[in-house]
Amino acid sequence: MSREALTPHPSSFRDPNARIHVSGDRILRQLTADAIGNFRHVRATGVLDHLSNKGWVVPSTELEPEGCGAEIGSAREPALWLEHPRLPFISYPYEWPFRALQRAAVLQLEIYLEALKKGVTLADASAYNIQFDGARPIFIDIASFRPYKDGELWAAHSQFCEQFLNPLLLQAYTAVPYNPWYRGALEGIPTNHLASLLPYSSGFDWRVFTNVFMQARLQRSATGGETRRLRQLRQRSLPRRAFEALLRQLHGWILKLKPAGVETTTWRQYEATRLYDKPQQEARLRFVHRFVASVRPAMLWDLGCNAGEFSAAALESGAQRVIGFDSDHGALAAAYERAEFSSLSFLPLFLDAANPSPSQGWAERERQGLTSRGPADALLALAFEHHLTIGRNIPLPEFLDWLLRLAPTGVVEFVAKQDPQIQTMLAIREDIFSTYSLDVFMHALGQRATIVEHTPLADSNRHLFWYRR
Amino acid sequence: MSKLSDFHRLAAVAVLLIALPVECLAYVDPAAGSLLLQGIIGGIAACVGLGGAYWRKILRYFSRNESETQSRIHD
Repeated sequence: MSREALTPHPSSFRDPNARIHVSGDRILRQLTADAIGNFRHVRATGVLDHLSNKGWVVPSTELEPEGCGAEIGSAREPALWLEHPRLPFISYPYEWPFRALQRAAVLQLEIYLEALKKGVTLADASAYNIQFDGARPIFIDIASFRPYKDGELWAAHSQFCEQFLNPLLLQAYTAVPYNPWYRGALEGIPTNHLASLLPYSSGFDWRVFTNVFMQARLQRSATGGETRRLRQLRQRSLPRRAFEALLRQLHGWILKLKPAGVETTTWRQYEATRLYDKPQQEARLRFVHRFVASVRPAMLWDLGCNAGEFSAAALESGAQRVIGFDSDHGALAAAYERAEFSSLSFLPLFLDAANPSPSQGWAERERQGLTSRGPADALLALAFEHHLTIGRNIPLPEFLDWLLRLAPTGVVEFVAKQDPQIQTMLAIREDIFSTYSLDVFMHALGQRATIVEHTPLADSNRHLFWYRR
Repeated sequence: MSKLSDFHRLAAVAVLLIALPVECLAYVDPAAGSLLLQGIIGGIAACVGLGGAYWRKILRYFSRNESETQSRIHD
């Protein structure tokens, strides 16, 4: 393999001494001479093995230059190469439901506390350094670890606040979901902006007062300060016990935060109130079982996953992993609870399907769009199509083109206009969908894919299609 | 007793570290507000440590007087 083939991953630029390279299916990390000393020191403390044995940190293998292919030996700079296992799906904090971001924050703090026991700390506290294996968070940036210097300030405190704490506080105190803001801001929610939004009464909690209001006030007072004064700031100290106490305080606090406003969303009640009747639901489950048992996808995407009933069924029928997508925060909360409670290989993520996560960030390549992270091996789109085609005016053929780009095969449910749910959707708006019909749908799908199976759901205006590109 | 020594250690470390500049090496730009906040937390921790150490000294002083009185009574 030529050296040109080893270009750094577009998201791996913040630490120039430890960049990630993707080579085929392999994930390689190049540590430059400047980073090797830190890494050796940290590794010698045993903290990396300890945390990786606990499943908290992604494992890494040191590569021997002569034994691992030309691409390693051909790099000009003196370097140490590490290899990490490839993660099946990369997700971003702005896609995580509240509970997932909360779990990620707690893991980040626990890693700090465990590492400190061995005299090690982390250079940053980026939420993008955490990924998920099912509903279980795992830390992926082992180059963040470095020796702890007694009394040093926690340089990443403000980053931790912006990327973990502030989004959680926003939703917990104002019932405003953080996802769209986080997606737009990427680096998280600035503390001074959050301070402008939180009710003053929240400041009676001294943790909100110190971490939000006081920090924002101090930041304001420091802005415009002389360079000399700002440099003096970095010479202050935070005793180790105070640092640990701060980490523990954040840990206990974050664990107790609850998202406001998700208990009563329509789709949270989806399974409890059975918006769909039982025979229909059982027919869907049988269809999904037939499909998944036949295709046996390594990666299945469940669009409009609700509380994860079909994702769980797909895993039972032979799918290896499922990524679920939904735009309802209540449903996502229920889905994440299901995944966590039953240790499923299922990660539910926030997605507005009419406006999916784009490729964005530095050079528009830092964070990948949804389509770039595919294709999946298969997908489910049950009771989903009408939310886009009727709810968001996406033309049927364009909806199908998009669906077929995401995976080569799948199950899609068509909902006819007579369906009570579509009638409800049309109750307060003009019906401009004169070309919306089962015939048009079947024709458009047939033009683009092979229809493997078509099953009308009894006593309803709904039809299930198993298609293959 | 072990708590007392913890307080002493904390106070000593805090005093030392306030006196000695500590260099922070990181590629994250730490916001000044966060650093100021931590400086205050660090200051409070040092005060608590020193205050605790003196408080315990005072307690020890009185408990010693008390035990001396007790032993005199028993004599």
